[in-house]
Amino acid sequence: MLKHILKEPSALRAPWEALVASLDDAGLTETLVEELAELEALKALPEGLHPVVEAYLDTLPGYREGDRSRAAEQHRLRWELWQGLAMVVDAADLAALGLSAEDPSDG
Amino acid sequence: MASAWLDEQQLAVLDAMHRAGCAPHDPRAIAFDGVRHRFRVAGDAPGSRNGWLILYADRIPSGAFGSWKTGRSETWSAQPWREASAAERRAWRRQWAEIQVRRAAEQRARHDRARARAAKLWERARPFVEARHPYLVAKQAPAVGLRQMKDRLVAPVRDLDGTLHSLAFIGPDGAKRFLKDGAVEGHCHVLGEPQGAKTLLLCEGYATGASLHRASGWPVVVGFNAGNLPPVAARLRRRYPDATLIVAGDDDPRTPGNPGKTYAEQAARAVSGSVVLPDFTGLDSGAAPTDFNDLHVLGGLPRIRAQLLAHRAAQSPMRLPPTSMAPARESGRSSAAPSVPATDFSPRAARSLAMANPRPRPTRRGDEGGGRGDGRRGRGGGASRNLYQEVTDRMIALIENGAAPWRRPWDRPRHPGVPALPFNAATGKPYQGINILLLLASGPGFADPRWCGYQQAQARGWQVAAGARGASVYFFKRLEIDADPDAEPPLDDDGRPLRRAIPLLRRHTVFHASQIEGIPTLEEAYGPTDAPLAHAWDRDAHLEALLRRSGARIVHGGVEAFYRPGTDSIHLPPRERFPASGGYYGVAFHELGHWTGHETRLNRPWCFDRHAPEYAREELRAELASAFLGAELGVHHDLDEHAAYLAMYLELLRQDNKEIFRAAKDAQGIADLLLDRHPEWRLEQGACVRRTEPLPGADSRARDDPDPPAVTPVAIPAPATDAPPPEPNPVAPVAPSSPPFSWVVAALDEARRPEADDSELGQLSRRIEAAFAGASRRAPAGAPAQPAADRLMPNG
Repeated sequence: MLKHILKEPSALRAPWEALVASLDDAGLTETLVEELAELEALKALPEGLHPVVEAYLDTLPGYREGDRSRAAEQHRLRWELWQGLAMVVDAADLAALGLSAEDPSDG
Repeated sequence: MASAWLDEQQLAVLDAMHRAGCAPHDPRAIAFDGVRHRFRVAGDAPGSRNGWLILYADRIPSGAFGSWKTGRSETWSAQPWREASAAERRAWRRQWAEIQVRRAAEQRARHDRARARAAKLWERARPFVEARHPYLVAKQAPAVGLRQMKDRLVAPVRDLDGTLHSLAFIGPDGAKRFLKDGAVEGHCHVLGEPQGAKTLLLCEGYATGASLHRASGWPVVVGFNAGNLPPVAARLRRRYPDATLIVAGDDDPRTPGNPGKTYAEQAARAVSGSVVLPDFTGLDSGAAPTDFNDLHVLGGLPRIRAQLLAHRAAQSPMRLPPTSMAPARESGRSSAAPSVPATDFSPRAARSLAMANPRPRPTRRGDEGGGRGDGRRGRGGGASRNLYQEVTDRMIALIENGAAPWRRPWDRPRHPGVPALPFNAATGKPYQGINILLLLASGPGFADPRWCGYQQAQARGWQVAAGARGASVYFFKRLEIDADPDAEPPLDDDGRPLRRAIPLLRRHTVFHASQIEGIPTLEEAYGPTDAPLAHAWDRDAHLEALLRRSGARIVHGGVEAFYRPGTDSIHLPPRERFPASGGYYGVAFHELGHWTGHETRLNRPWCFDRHAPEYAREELRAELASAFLGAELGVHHDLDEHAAYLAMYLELLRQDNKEIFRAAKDAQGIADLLLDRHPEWRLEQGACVRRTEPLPGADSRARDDPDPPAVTPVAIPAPATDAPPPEPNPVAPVAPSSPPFSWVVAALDEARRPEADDSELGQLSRRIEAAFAGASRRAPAGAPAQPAADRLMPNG
């Protein structure tokens, strides 16, 4: 799934695809698509999905170290990318186009 | 034995496919192998492969089949559902789910490929459409947002975020076709700017849309075909919940089922809209007219306009008639969607209904106008929307509607210490580049430049007003990824895994201060308006000082203003030719913007061909910089006479969806340089020198550092009165971290002591000032024009 939108397929595709495929199998993707943006929602999924959820959470930067805020933010970014709400941009464009970094308190 | 068994199942499924109207031309296409097959449907043209099937040879054979041509699909099982055991039903459901997932993935892949093809073709298409294109001539329609490939017109098929999904081609004879495999359902072509519009029209065809747009001036959404009206209407309603949606349907009673009218009514019914159909009463209907373009050609635009206005006036804002069509009206035929129960279908009522059946997820009061707050469903696995295109399309629509944000009249906030340009009320950070333009386009004006995100407001105890519609701004954030997820990541010196960071551009929604309840007023935060302004640049002496401080060589004479790169000099008409000093400074600072492009300063490319894109690029930057400077300095540059440039800007933006980002960034660089706020450069003797000291009085890191530290609030300038300072307000917004005009000190000192400047320029400037002191006469009509050779970079 992410291979369509991310040029770094090996980095994210496997854990995220596994999770989404499991959700698809359980018929949950469509009904929970917005809720999935929240890290906490993943933990509330049915018990049968816990192994794949745990495997996914383990891939999130900051999760193993207990930095839940960072993990939640990185998960949100993956979700937005998957949803097509965020766009990968060329690093060179940041300066060339005058793009601003997001303030941590923006929201 | 096995073969006989299969033959039996093949016959069974063939029979079912025959009943569904999608039996294969060659029955050998039926295979129970769990693989999806495409085949030619019996009766379809040779070479076509519209049919599909996937069949499993499980204990109970089952599967699905259908036709892409008709859109029909069916599941099939060798055993009737009612006879199946619970386990068999579960297995069957799972098979069916797998089929659905596979089909969806295949369709997404086809759409993805078509989207890529569409982008390439759109780039290759000529942006200039022949005004005498036979189709446009026959339809009397302008080309709004179209391009041309050979003799075919090309219309973009986009979603409401501006992402291009497909193309529609229109031949000289009106023959239409879509790009193969391109997604059209729910997508459209928009004429005009729907954002903020009270009334939105939805119609089928491009020519119909162009006629409706020309006649009414309202935004018109073209759905391309009748069947696409309901899904497009649904998306419009979600995006613009408060707009009055009118479906301008085609009406062809000669076609069985009258699909144009039927789908228009279906669309309107689903979104609490209304239907208006063209009324040809009294016109020559020998050619069997059906749509509003026919009405345009036969009866003229005023007739369409009258019909639309009458229809809108007749619509009750709160209630639509039940169950039956509204009576035909004298000036047009209007109908509410039939078969609706007698109830309130207004958007307000729809929202109430939604509130009565809340989603489990907490809802926000303000409408974020996009992203997760607008009710759009996700499309996981789909391609990312192109945010560059989204912004560019918005700017194009604004320009086309005469609402270019940098051409709006401005007025600076009158409270001391308040910056003129948008800034975040919670962090005090000024918005940068493209975000400035977007907020100028969205805000109520310059009187209050404060904006704030929803969560930021909540964190401060403020509340976004219910129903408030936010404005979009764009920031980037870095997604961290492992270089190789299958290998242990390398560690940094502290033993933490090293990861790559990919920048992602994201859309945020912010709300204007006027939409936020509980936010301190400007007076509460910054003091009364009658306090002395620390940056009162609208006083001529200060403007003059700033102009002089730039080091620019300014020559007065003639009747035209321009910058001449060869001599690196700004040429201005004498001040006496300007009706007011503000006009003089407006022009002077605009030319000063061009002056910054010299190779010794910001080094932008020059072009002397007025018809070249490079010329328009430079002019766009100077215009934007004029707006930024004008807001800060309180001077206005009259751009009315330069409306012709807008067409060139439109072409620039259509050619390159990053151009408006670059232009806004460059313009900010121009303004920052002249205001001595540029993070890298400062002016010294009229040339750029790299800044070695921090920005005067400012934490320069707050402006461009990708990971800025917490912003240290800057003290609000105290009013120079005897009044005691106000009590600190714990929830007051922090003052902007951008320097509140610390550079004012140097220039003000200079203004107070003009005699201190004994340079040649200073002496010249004083001579000019003395010569024209007090003069403010209008430039005489018919004054001789500057020689053409001097019109290098005109005042534009």
